[in-house]
Amino acid sequence: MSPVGAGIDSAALALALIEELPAHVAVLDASGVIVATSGAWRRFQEENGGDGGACGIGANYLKVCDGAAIACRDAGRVARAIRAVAAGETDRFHHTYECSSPTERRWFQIRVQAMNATKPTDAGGSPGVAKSRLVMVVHQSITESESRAEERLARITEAAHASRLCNIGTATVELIHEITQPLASVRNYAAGSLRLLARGGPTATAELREAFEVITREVARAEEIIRRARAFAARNEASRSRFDLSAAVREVVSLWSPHLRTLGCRVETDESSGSPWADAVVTADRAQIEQVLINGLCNAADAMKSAGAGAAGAGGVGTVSGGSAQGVIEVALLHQVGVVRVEVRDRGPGISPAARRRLFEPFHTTKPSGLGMGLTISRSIAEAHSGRVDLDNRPDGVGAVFSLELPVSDAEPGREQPNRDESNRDGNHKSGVKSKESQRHAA
Amino acid sequence: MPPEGTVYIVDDDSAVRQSVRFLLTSVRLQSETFASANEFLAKLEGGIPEAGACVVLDVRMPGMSGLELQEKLARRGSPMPVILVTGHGDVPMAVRAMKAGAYGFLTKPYQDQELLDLVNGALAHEASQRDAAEHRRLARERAGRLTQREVEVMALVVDGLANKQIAASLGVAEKTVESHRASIMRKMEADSLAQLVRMSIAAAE
Repeated sequence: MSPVGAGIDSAALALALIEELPAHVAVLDASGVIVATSGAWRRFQEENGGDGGACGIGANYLKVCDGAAIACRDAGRVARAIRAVAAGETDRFHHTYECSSPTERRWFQIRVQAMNATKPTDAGGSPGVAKSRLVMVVHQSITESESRAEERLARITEAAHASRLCNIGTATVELIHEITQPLASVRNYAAGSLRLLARGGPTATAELREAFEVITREVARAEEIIRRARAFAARNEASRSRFDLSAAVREVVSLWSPHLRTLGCRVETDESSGSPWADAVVTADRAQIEQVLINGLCNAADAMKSAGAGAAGAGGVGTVSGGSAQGVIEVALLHQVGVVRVEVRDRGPGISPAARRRLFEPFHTTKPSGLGMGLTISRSIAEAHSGRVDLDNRPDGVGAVFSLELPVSDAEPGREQPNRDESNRDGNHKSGVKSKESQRHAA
Repeated sequence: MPPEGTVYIVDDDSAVRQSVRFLLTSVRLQSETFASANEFLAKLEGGIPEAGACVVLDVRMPGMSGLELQEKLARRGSPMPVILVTGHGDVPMAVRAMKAGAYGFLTKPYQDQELLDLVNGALAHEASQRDAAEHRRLARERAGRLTQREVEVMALVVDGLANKQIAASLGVAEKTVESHRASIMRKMEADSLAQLVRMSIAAAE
């Protein structure tokens, strides 16, 4: 029955195995007392100036975490997780945290896991242990992968900035210039015609006809420019694919959390507080949708910064911000009929009625360094996907809610190529979105 | 009554340059259109008149830009006022244009009245510049007819000295001064002392 060969003390083998594990491992009893540690755990304590006793065998790790929880929110979460695992409420927990030394930034992942495999009574252990579960705590350095994520974040930020300059700077200026030309000539012909008419007399039928012909032609030219701009926008639809929006939200949140922390904000999802997100398959340009979500998160952080809320953690790169409820950005994923809705809720000052009226106006901004294009672009992205974005005050108090709604796609992959925008436009209109859209336009 | 004159319109966009011409025609202003800076320069070399004309230039043109053309016109000493039209509200560009001596700067979209005001202003400015230049040329030509003695007498006359003082200053009879003075007025074609003063200032410029 026992997987351990004859003549080998399985308890000794277990301890030897733990000793040799490359990760920082400690085994706790249900009250939090450390009963075994890996050599790596011990060495880490020694290297980091710990006195060995504080986190060594016999010490109570729960008490260590409780003691640290005042200064460090992560420690509090770990303590709660250990208690939950020890009580059998959950089997595992993992959490990524930053624990930087003065000279380098370091990230760790902590895993807390129930150990149910053996019954110590069978192996002749003490009866006290037999009654309760053992808890394994593993700290693993993931600095390298987190650094990579940070690098990626920096690249994304850079790319977002560059593309913003590119798209808004160049494309808009070009478009403005192009459309200004026919408008200028239409104005000149119209104004000239009015002046001819004001002169009176039997003048100018031929001249007026010329003017109206050119005006008609120039209006057609302006329309052609608009058609080309539309076609340009439509070309971007080629990169549409089916993906799980909940996964995209998770990725954006995890990728941008470090950046938002430096702004003094922490992101909490309703998933992490106990309601796991169901898959929400959408057919969309993932990069564009992520851009909308990032915009929502950054707006929320800006709002709280302007309210002075998350200021405690601002500027302190590598510090964990204070646990003030005002520094929390909540992200929720809600399933509605045919529609999935992502909400980003902040505790900033909210939106004044005047600001709300001008929300989507291009180049309108309330921020000193804002371009005033974030919401405008977000809205056009959402509308290109038959969805919508909105920014409104929280129904539950001070703060704003940024929302993105997208129509959900059928669970099984469709036969048609998702790239054909016609089929997307017509095929994916779920009644909920459609009726909301038309209501909004009617309003 | 609009000032006499011709407006040269240089714009690579044919609909736009025709529309400016249409607008100018509606207020009875003469104009000619050119599709590029080079075409315009070639016509200037070919001898189209620069007197009584102003130029409306699009800044953004393929080949030579409006700014380059304006600077070229300034270097060859063209008397034509230049109005630059741009699609961008670009302040550094406007500053560069005004420093290079542009008469005006318009940003599209502009009101028709703005363009007409600038064009009328430019033509009036050109006309008055041309009058002043003509006045200087005449004054110099007439001053060239004076003898050395008459030049000395005129300098004292425009300084406001009476004949008697001039006579004393030059050590001649008052009668002689009077005859010099009459000759100066005749040669300078001046009807009054005030006119003579203006002439002598223009001749000295």
